[in-house]
Amino acid sequence: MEILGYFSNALEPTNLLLALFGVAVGTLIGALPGLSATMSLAVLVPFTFTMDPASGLVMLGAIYTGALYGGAYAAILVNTPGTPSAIATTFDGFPMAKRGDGALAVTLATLVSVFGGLTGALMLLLLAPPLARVALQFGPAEYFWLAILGLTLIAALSVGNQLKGLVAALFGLMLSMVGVATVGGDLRLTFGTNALIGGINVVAGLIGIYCIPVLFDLVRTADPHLDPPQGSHVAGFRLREAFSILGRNKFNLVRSSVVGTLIGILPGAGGSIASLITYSAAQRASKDKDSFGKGNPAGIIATESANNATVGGGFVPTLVLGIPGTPPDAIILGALLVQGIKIGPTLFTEQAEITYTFIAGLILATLFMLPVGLLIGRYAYRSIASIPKAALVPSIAFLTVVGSYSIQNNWYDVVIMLVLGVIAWLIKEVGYPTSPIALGLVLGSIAEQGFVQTFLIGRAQGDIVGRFFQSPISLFLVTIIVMGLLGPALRSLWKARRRQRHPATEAGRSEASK
Amino acid sequence: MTLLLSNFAPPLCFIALSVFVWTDADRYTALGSVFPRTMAAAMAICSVLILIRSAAVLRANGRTSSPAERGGTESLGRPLSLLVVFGLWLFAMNTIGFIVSSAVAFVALTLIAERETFAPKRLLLIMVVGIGGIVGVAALMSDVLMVPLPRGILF
Amino acid sequence: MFTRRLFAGALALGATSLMLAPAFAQTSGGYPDKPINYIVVFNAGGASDLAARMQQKYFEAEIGVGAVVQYMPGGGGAQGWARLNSMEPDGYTIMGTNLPHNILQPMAADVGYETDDIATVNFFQYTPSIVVVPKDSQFKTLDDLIAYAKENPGSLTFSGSGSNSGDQVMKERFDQVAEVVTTYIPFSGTSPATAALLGNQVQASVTYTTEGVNQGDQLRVLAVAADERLPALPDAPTFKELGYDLVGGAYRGVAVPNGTPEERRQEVSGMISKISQNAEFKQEMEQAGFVPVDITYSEIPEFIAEQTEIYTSVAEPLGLIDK
Repeated sequence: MEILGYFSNALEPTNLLLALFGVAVGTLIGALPGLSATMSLAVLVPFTFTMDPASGLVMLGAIYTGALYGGAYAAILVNTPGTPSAIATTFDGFPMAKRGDGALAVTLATLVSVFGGLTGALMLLLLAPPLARVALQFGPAEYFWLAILGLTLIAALSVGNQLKGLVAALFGLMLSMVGVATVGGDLRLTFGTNALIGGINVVAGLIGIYCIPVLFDLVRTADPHLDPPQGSHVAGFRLREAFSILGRNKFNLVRSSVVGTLIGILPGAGGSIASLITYSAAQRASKDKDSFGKGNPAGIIATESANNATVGGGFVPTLVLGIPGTPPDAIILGALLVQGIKIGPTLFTEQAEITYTFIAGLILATLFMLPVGLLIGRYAYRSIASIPKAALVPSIAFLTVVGSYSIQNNWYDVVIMLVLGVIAWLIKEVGYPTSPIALGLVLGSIAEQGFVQTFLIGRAQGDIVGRFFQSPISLFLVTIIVMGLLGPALRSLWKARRRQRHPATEAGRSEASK
Repeated sequence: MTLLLSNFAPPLCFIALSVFVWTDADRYTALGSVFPRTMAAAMAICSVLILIRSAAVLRANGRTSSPAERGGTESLGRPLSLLVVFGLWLFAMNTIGFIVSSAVAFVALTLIAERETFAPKRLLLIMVVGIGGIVGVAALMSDVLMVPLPRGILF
Repeated sequence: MFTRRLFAGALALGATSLMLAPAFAQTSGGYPDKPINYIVVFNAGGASDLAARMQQKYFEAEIGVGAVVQYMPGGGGAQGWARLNSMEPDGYTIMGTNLPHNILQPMAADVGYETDDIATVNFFQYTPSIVVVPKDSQFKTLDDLIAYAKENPGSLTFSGSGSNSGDQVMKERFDQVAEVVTTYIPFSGTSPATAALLGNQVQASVTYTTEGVNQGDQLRVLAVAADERLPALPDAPTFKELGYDLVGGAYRGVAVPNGTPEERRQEVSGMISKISQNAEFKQEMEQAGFVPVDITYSEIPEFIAEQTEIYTSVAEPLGLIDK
């Protein structure tokens, strides 16, 4: 029951205030495309030098969790992910906002972010050392298959046009190769310019791919950005409705939170992969697959619970092994090391006070997202809906520029952002989906490094093929991939046969589901 | 004609890209070229399949499937001018400075995006607030977050 | 309706920035009178970042102004170094540098800068390389490892950070002095390389003393590539003790854009030296596994020339030179 004692530490007024402050700041940072959690944490680290270690950690953790949650706002209301982990939230979030359910979408995102965040934090509290051992089981081969699993999602993203989706994903994978190769050290596809040596920054690329086409579409048509139907339906938190949707999606919610935590513990994977994989899992498990991408709340439930669950998950390897799960974790780890805190299993025994106060603070910060989120959410949707295009377009444009510039203080990133954005718009115009490009860009380096490292290790041990399929985790991932790829084909075959037999019932069903 | 273009030009571009990546991979070490080669080959194959399918549809229907038709009020003029303003903005940033170029671009984009009846008062308000926001963000960036914004002859 | 809200937002934003601005400006006249921008060209959490953060802690007390650590990662640091000389040469922008990176990278490919372009003004720490295995590894000593490598040529796997990196050169030098053939597996950084080792994906790892200290008893340090044993790793023998002539690691320093005036370079170098002389700082660095050094501005050209010679002689036979 010592743990309860640490909770009372976290309840000290300073820690409470820091947690609240962190969540509020983090949410705002996350909501603005381009202002990242990593950047704000790096700025705030020096302030923690003078603080009590646990208080400093509580603040940093709160900002991190708030930022991942805040990413949902931009995704839902403007169709531009505020953070990479909110990519998949745009798929269903924006269609919901467009048809007038923005407030509901934001409320849902808040509730499931809290749930996911709590799941991750509780797993960190109770299971950290064993989970860290699971993380270590993930070697190059497992990362390779995980990336491939993420890529199979393009099948879901490009319904009816899988070939085009595949080409777009391959284009994204090529973009991920630009620059100095980690494995081999070659300079690839840089066209002789130094601007591309560091590769295409994923965040800058995502801002371009998602925001620029939105801008073009905004100025192109006269329709308002969001089109809420007039009437009382729109106003309020719509909490009751949100809870009834959650009730129908409880398995989805629990699965996404747990999977999110598990992916969070894998160093290098992070929130974007977690949310993409849980999204596709939710779609596969759903009876109403075609409504995904058209404003199905289940999509938001999956992605937003998963990305907040990665916060707690990501701290598992950071605290137990000293290996940061994500870039923000790395900054927090640096802050710990500067304070002279020894990382490792002893953190949970000899330095338990700091660790448990921090985890308790993280849980409190996650709970604070509820009031903070509902309050901001209540106004955010109405404000965005009421802002005229003449103000919205230049504002989004300015944010894309500031956001892509400030990632690495690099003007070239802004140019890359614009160029990729224009390419994405053109590709969209000729009928190709653009989300697979983002997917390829995010997953490319993980897939390539995993592949080449597995190949090298396998060659050294004289068993290349075996190395790819050796471990139970690899086999498990391969099974899911194969099922996912063959599933839709088998299903449509089955559907076609059914339709032949009962044409009338099938027609009636599809009518009813609309 | 535009239908032909939108159906056949993209796969041809993708094929050209995969050929480029494949040949560029000649320079790489063995380790660095595996992945690009695989991707290039896959892209070329998929693009050829898309070409074949489009051709088959064309022959069967006499016309190809086209991306969703849009409403009649649209124009390409605005997106293009948006692009031009954006491009100029990026270049001006390094010569005349971040704040001034952003402010000018903000005004230009406001005018491009304005659809409703011309209301000078409202537009003016948007611009003033927008420019105030730009200055605020720039101050936040350079003084608080220590992000060195591009400097030019003006701000 | 919306306009009022916009106004309020802009006002709030402006007010915040005005409030926060004076906190950073403690004017006193001479250099430095505002915070120093300290750019780390690697990801947060790495050894470069850790060292910078330790210095940052003492900036306020020793120099009188704070330092702001920023990250400009990409291309194994090359992205940042290639841009160093286009930054403001006023002494308020300093960038972490790394030998052998600054020597090996331009040697292996056109990465957008040459070794001479990087105006390092002070090297403040040295991080020796180490060879480590997991704590439950079959290899208890370096001799066990070498014996295994001799029996199974090519099958012993080492993880390390990146291709053409200091880690890879160290592994190749190890192969030479121990007369073995082993396989190097590049990872995207020190942390992933260590994770692969802890998970037994590879059998050994070439990394830095800092990583050996951080991981504590999860790893066994077989040998340290330094002249003497380190205070932070008292039980780990040096290669020399074991009979192999292998000394190497990374020197980390601080550079300024090459347009910076001579006088200002001296001042920056002096500033870093001042922090290096702080006893508490020294002790913290040693505890973390760094070897604090103080190679000042006047000694730099000779030092870089000497290191370049060492690495050229190593890299040439390894086929790392590509130009």
